[in-house]
Amino acid sequence: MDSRYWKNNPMGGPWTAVMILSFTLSYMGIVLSPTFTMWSYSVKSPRSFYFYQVWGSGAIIGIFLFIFVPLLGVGAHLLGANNLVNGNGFSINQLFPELI
Amino acid sequence: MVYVFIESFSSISPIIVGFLAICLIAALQSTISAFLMTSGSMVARDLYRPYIDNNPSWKRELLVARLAMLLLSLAALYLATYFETSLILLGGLAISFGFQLFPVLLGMLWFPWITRGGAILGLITGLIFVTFAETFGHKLTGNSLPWGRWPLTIYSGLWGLFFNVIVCFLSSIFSSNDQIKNTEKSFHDFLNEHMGIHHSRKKVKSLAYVFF
Repeated sequence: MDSRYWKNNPMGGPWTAVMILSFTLSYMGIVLSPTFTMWSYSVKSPRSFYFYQVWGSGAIIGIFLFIFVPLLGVGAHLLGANNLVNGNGFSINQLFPELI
Repeated sequence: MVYVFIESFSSISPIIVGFLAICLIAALQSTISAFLMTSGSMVARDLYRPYIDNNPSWKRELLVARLAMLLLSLAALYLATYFETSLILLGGLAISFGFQLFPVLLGMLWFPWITRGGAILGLITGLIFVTFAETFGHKLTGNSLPWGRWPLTIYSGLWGLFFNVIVCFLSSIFSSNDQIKNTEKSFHDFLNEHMGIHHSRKKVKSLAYVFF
């Protein structure tokens, strides 16, 4: 394949559907890190070790991401990333002009 | 940015500054403690024990783990203070590097035919390909690679895993011998004997598959 297809940025930015999917799959890296294997060693009974390693760690990290990532996203909107929020005077620099 | 944000509250309410500072320290503490504990145990159990002292006393192993944790904390502080730019680059690599442990997990829990050598070789290949598919790799090679960051808009973690799995599976197939098979069989027999879900919780397993 021509190297220009590999080197150039895609039209409209790099966040294509394939990119989002592969990025999301890569987030399994958090669950696979040795910290979570060590965490799985703390299960009460060794019977549930590998269910905990896969499902337990996955569920816990999933819940963390589910709760905290939207909060971080909302934080960006409140910091002035959203025109609608800015237009209605709800961004932090409009509510607390002395802060920012 | 966080420090500036917290400091900006000082003129309005010192109580909020104290509260936010406690939140910041708690967040740092909770994250770093888990990672340091793991790193310390890994150095003591997987490096010190097999390669330096085969039969250390419990106290000595604890001392090695503590020293490793101290050195790692100092290294982290040094990086955070003097190399802010490389810290961001390394942070971007962390999740993709973690993802390369997938064949290791497969070998540990499900596929007994994945050998130790195959998993290690695959892991090294994965780490190299992740680095070359990221900005960090381009900086290392002086931007001479024929592809850009995240080629074909596929994230570096998946590129790494692709080559990792190929190398791991192939080298496991070719490097396997009877001695390795017996060692791995005894490990997986142990797992099958002592693990597995209790009969009373079979319903939970079906529920997990429904969600999956």
